[in-house]
Formats: sequence, C-alpha cells, structure tokens
Amino acid sequence: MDELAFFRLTGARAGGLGPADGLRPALFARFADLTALRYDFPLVALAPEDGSFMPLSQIVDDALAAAAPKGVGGERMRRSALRVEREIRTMLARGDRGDIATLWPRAVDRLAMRGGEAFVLDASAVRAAIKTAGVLIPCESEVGSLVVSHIWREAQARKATRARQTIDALAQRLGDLVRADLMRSETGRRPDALRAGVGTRHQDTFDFTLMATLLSAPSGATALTPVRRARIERTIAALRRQRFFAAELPYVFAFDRVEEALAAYADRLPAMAGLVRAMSVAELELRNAYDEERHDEYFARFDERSLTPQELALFPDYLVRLHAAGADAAGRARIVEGLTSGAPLKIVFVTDDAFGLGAHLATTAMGLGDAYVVQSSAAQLYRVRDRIAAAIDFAGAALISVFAPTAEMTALPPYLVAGAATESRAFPTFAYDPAAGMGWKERFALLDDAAREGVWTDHELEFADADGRRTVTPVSFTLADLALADARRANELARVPRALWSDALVPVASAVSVSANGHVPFVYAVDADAGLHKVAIADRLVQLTRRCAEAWRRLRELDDLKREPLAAAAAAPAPVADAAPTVTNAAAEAGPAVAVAEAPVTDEPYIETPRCTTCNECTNLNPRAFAYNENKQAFIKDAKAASYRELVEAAENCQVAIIHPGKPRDPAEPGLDDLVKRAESFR
Amino acid sequence: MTLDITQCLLDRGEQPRDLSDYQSGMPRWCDGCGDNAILTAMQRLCRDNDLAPERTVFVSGIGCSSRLPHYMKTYGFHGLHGRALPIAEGVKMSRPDLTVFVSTGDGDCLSIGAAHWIHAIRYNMDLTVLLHDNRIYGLTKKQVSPTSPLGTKSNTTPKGSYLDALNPLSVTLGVANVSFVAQVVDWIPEVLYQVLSAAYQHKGLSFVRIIQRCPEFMPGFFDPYLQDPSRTMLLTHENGLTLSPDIARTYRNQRAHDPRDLAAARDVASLEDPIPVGILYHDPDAARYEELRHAGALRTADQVRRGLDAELDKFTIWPERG
Repeated sequence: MDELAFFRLTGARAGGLGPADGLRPALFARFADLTALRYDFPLVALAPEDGSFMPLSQIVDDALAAAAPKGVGGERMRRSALRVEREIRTMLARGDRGDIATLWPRAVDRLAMRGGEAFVLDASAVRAAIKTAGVLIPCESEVGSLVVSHIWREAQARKATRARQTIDALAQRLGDLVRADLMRSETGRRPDALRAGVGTRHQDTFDFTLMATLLSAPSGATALTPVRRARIERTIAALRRQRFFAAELPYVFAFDRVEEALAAYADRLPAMAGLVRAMSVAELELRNAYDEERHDEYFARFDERSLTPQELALFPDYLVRLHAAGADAAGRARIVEGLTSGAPLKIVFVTDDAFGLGAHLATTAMGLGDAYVVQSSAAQLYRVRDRIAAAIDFAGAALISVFAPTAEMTALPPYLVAGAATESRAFPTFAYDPAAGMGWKERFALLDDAAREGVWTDHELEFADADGRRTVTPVSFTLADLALADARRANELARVPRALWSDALVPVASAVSVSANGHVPFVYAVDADAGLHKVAIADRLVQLTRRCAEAWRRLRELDDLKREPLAAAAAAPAPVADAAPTVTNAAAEAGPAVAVAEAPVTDEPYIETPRCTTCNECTNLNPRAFAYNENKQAFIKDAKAASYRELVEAAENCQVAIIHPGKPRDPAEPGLDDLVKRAESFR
Repeated sequence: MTLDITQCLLDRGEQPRDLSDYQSGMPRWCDGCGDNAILTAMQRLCRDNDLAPERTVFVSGIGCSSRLPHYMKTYGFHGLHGRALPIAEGVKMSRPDLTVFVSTGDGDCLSIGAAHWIHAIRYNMDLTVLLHDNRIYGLTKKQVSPTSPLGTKSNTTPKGSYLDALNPLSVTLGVANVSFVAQVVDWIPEVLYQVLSAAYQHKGLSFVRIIQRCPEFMPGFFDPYLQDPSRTMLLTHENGLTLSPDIARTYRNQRAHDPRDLAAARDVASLEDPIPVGILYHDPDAARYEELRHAGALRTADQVRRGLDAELDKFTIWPERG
C-alpha cells in the first residue's frame, strides 16, 4: 500500500508525507494583514436609537462627509483619517481595548511623529465630527457574547423604562387617593394640617384654629374604609418594593450557567406573581372597581400559576453566556432543558470548533419548535443584528449560536477564519422564528445566499506553475479547507511532496460526491512564502466534510419551502369555471351592491322605527300608544290605545313622515271619511 | 395599559349598561329639533361601546348644540363661546385615557371659534367632534350664522343675508393633517349612528358635520330633502359606509366613494344638492399631537407644586428685592 492510501485510511504520515504546519488555505493567500483592510469590524456599540451597532469605517466615512472640505485639503484629511482608523485596527489586534474617545487620541499620538502638524490637525478635525461614542468591538473570540449582551442590555433597558412608568404611575395615583382622603378626614382638617397646607409665607396670615372649626365634615360616605386604606397602602408598598425594573436593589439577570438562570427564574416567580397582583389590585382600585366580596378570595389564591403570557412578557429576559469549551454532553443537555423550560432564557453560545457537536446545537434547537434560534459566525454578526434583536424581543427562550475563532485554534486573523466558517458551509447563517407562522416556510430563513445552486462555493485559484506560467484552476471551498485553519485538525492533514503529485490526488469536493477507490482527496494550501502545496485529507475529515454537505442540503431544502407555493400554484388545475360566474353576473346587473328591502303591505298602523329621529312629537301626543324602544326610537306600543284621529294627526306631525295610520279600526269613529282621505298620503 | 387579569375581572364585574345609564334630565330643546336625534345617537354609541361614564367627557361651547353635555350622564364641560375645542384638547392632553367628544354649532365652531377649529384639525388629537349645523343662531332667537344660505332673513339681516354660505367640509379638507371628515343629516338616524360610530372608532380628530333641522327658526327649510330621498346622496364603500336593506330601499341615490381619496373627497364636499351623506375622507395614519408631545406624562405632587409656583411667581411682586 502506498503512503498516500495508507495516510488516507489511518491518518498516519509515512514516507515523504509531512505535517501541514504553517500552511493556510490557498484562497487566503491574498489576505495576510487584515488591519490594512476596511470591513465590518471593529464595530462600535451604540445606543439603540442610533442603530445598536455601526462599523468604525462607516463612522469615519460619515465624519469625513461632514468635515472634509472639497479639493486637495479634503483628500489629505481623508488619508489622515484612514491612517488613524488603520492604527486603531492594529492596536485592537494587539489587544488594546476602549472606546473611540480613548483609542482615537492614542492612535493619533502614535502616528504624530511621522505625520507632522497637518496630520494632527486633520485627525482632530475628523474626531470633532464624530458624534457617536461607544466601545469598539473587534472580531475576536468574545465578540458574540459582547454583541448579544449589548443588544440584550438595550432591550432590557427599554422594557424596564416602560414597566417602571406603569408601576410608578399606579403607585402615585394610589398615593393621590390616600392623600385626598387624608385632606377630607378629621386629621386633615386639624389646624396644624391646614397650616402646613398653605406654605411658609402665609402661615401667620390666617387663624387656622378658627378655620378648623369652620370647615365642616365632608358630605357623603365616600371616605376610604380602614380596610381599603390598608389594602391601598399594602399595594403601594408592594409596587415600590419590586426588584425587577430599574430598582434600587435590582435582581441580576445575566448568568454564565443555564442552571443558575433557571434557579433564579424559579425563585423569583412568586415575586413576579406578587407584583402582577399588586398592579392588578391597583388598576381595580383606581377604577373604584375593587369588590371585596368577589376579589379578596381571588387575589388570596393568586400565585405564579395565575400569570398569563401577556404578564410574563412584561418581565426581564435572562441572558446566559456560554462557551462551547465548557459545554460537554451534559452541558448541551442543560441548554436544551433551558430552552424548553418556559423561562425566557436568551442563551448566547459561542464555539470555536466548527467540526464538533457544538456546531450542530442551533440545528438541534430548531427541532424543539418553540425557541427562537439564530446561528451566525462572528464575521456575519453585523449583518444579522436585526435577527439577534428579534430573538431578544421574542416572548420566550432563544438560542444565539456564534462561531468565533480563538487563539488556541489558529493564529490567522479571526475575522478571516470566521468568514471561512460561513463560506465552507461549516457554520451557515440562519434564523428560526417560531412566532413568524405555523410552518417551516414562514419560520425558517437561510441567510447565506451565495452560490445557492451547488453545495460548495466556487472560486478560482491563480498561481504560477513550475515554468512560471500563470495558471488558473477552479476550486471549491470546503470544510476540509477550513481544517487548515484549525490546529486541532492537524492529524488529519498531510503535506504531499511534489514527487507524489499524481492523478490519484483528487479535489476533496469531487471525492465527497463520488467515492472511488485508489483516490486520495486533497486541498490546496499556501505557506508563509506563498508557495503552493497540495495537502492530503484523511478519511475521518472526508466523512466530516460529507456530513457538512448533507447538513447544508437539509437547510437548503427547508429554505426552499418558501419557493414551493409558486411552483405549486402554477401546477394546480384551473378553478372549475361553470358554477360561480353566473351568480356574479346576476348580482352585477342588479344595480347597487346592497340588498334592498320592500315596504310591508298591511292594514295595521306601523312606524318605520329605524328612521325615527326622537323628536317627541308622537310620544307627547299619546304616550300610551306611542313609545320609545331601547334605542329611543318610536314604535306603536298599543294601537288600540289611539283613536284613528290620533294616528292620522301623529302621521301629519311626524317630521320624517314615518308613521303609517293604516285602516280605521272602529268604523263608528266620527269624521272617518275625512280622516281616511288625510291618511291616503301615509299609506 | 391594563393587565389581562384586571380586564377579565372588570368584564365579569360589570352589568351591561342601558340607555338610561347615559341619560340625564329632560332635554330643553324644541320638539322636532335635530339635537334630539344627535343626543339619542350619542347615548346609543356610548351604550354599544360600553363606555364607562366616569371615563367619558362631553365638551361644548355655547349655543343650542352646546347644551348636549347637560343631558349626558358622563363628565361634561359647557365651555366658553367658540372654545370647545381648546378645552377638549386640554382634557385630552392631560388625560389621554379619557374618551372625549365635542359638541359645537355652526356659530360656535365656524365663526367665533374658527381659529381653534382650523388648528384642532391640524393637531389631529383623538377627539370626536360633532358639528351641529342648523345654519342659524337659534339660542339667541335667529341671527345668521356662517352657514346660513344667501338671502336668509334674520334679526341681523332683515333684508336677507349678503354672502354665500361657508362650506365647513371644504375648509376642513383643506387643512394639513386632516384625518377624518364625514357628513350626515339628523333625519336618517341609522346612518347618523353608523357614521358617528366610525368617527368614534377613528383614532385622531374626526370631524362630523351633522346637518340638522331647526323647526323654530328655519321651519321647513329641509322639507324638500325629507320628502324626496333622491336629494340625499349616500356615499358607500367597503372602507366607508355600507347600507342596510331598509336604508338602501328608501335612499336609492348612492355613489361609491373611497374615503382614502382626498381629491375625490374635495369634489364631493362641494356638492350642495343632493346632500352628500357618508364618510368623505379617512386617513388612519395622520400624526396625532398628543402622541408627538407624550401627553399624560406622570407628574408627582411635588412637580405640580413647583410648576404652579413657577407660574404664580410670574405675577408676584417682591418688594424686598427692590
């Protein structure tokens, strides 16, 4: 067995095969130093009204648009600002941290020696035009946690402000009730209370003792009963005591362990029920609708089981920050437990292993059905910020799974590797929103749209061959390529010396789709000096790559559900054409599209009640015969109670002519001939 | 905000109200006065929407129309001549949780209160405004109002009035941020009720001109319209008025009109005969002033005291500061 086949099957390197240390995916060749490039990162954390986040480059561009003059001076200012921006990137890559206010002047100081006075002036002019302040977040291992925490914090602050306003208003208005009652009470009418009521300037002007004797007890029995006053005071105290919203002694809502968050939530449920009870009692009291007989017992039995989703949604969400390194099988089980517990946990799960089980956590969580799920690599976070915000606002549990490389994994720039994790399909970007609809079609969205047709993304690799000729070869970027950027996969890779390059080496993308004996899959790599290498892949990694392709296909199938209805509609048979149209045509010819009632034909007197304008004419004429209905419109209550003369006169007096006297009931009534004639026009 | 559980307890606790829960006193309007029909429609509206009397306010200015709050068993404010709208705006500003109706007449609103009228339309606060338009000053025994037809003989114009009547609909539809304009006649109670309901449901200022009879000082003026239904043109649309079979039988003169169409609404507004009846214009998205200005913000007793002190200090003379 040759050494390539031996390596493929066992992962053991023999003969000329060497380790792949120091090699990078060949497509990385052009990206050595990211600090020189302008991209999404670093992000600047902003207040929510400014959009939560903005890339530093965008902020600098905005400042330049505002500050840079036209012409040569403006161009010089632009260059100066871009140098500062690049320096800030370099400082962040070296480990410095801070906000624009601290890092900008430090970057300027570092460049001032070479830049001279003009540079310093330009840089401070641009700095003055930057209106936003906020911490800079570079793309590094903590980025997922920082971004989600920022969005979560802002969302909780919004929630707390709203809830505090409601609670404070209730407490204050209850306080007003007690105060008003006190002013009416005997205590409130005592001389000292009256003196306190007029303020210091006029305390000697009046005789308050005399005033107290003049003020008599208020009329009516509207004073608060001692029981009600005690209940109101208890309620005010409960509202003031709450610890959920911007309280003096606030609860903590950010955790590093699922079980701690769940325990805290369970512990606080009684307090939540207590606060909701106090709010509800307050609302009833303020409407004067608290009925002790009915409500005392209800509220005595009120506990956390009585809380409805609307009330639960008022309360803060629990942030849980987890790292895959600390999540073994038991840890992952706890995450699933947390997501199904009913508690509003917002779990941000950060992994640096695109090959491990942690990378499938989000797909698993989607299967739970009722948790909001977002998956994104660190490089895509800015793009999916709205989805993260929606996950935090979602009334229920959410999982935000983020891939962010660590120093342990690779020495390559984290942004590049994170982007590669998305590109290689190892960590696709998607969101699952249970509230968006009833099916996968509405709920699931695959957010990577590049190269939807194939499994892998296709690129061209350009290099000089042995004779120095420019050569272009198509390559796919796969999970196996990503393995070159993960030190922990080194054992599954072997550098193939040029002497062993042969037709037996096949690109990994084709080896994954067509398995043939005798072939050894490889990926292209480059070394530090830009030398091109082929790296053989052991079977274990080939299998992982195949699984990765499968996982991607499944996600795409789910996403394709969105597109199906169009195809289905096109294929569906045309609606049956012979039943409905005749009806439609008949209706169209009938004129106005409303039903038309016909006048009743009767000899009895009647009133077109719906047309009555409540003018009191007929009811004043004979209140026994004419009366108002529940809508205060007239009808004939008792026709026998009116003579035919009265009926005819009522008809004549009615301003809207809606009274119809009918035929005379008593043929002996005097003057009937004349009355019948007069009634003619009211038939 | 009201919690679900509170709402549930409230719903169980309250007896359904009937018309008498909103009736107060015997109206002093003349027999046959259109105000009676408007009052009945308002009482029905309150009952059917189960408006709590203690959370409902009727504000009025001066005139026959403005007696309406007296006959409603709710909160009421019989204000100054022409000033119904600013009072109502003040109520809404400090208590946006209350339902506020405004009753005003053709003199009260369109003459002495015209400035307030224009700006109230523009402010678009959530008020339901009923313009009781009988085209005459009735309370003071017959003087011309801005809507009196040309040639109206009255105590102030014994030889007949000199100017064409003002058209309140056209003016209202010309004001920026207008959001709801309708016209009804008092003698078709069903449609009156329907339009007032739509006006009440609209969030923003709904302006309803109610053409009403004054049997005392404009006797017989509207008789031709009462006797010939074809001289009333009902505006129908799925977004506006849909007619019952009874009404459709009597009033066959109908026109389809989409209330979202401002230009068409202005055309309709200029019609005088037949009288157009229905919803002329409706824009549910117009900005509302009380929301822009965060009405109903919480004020503690201390804040109120400081505010009052600051106001009173403006008028205080401080001799010791000489």
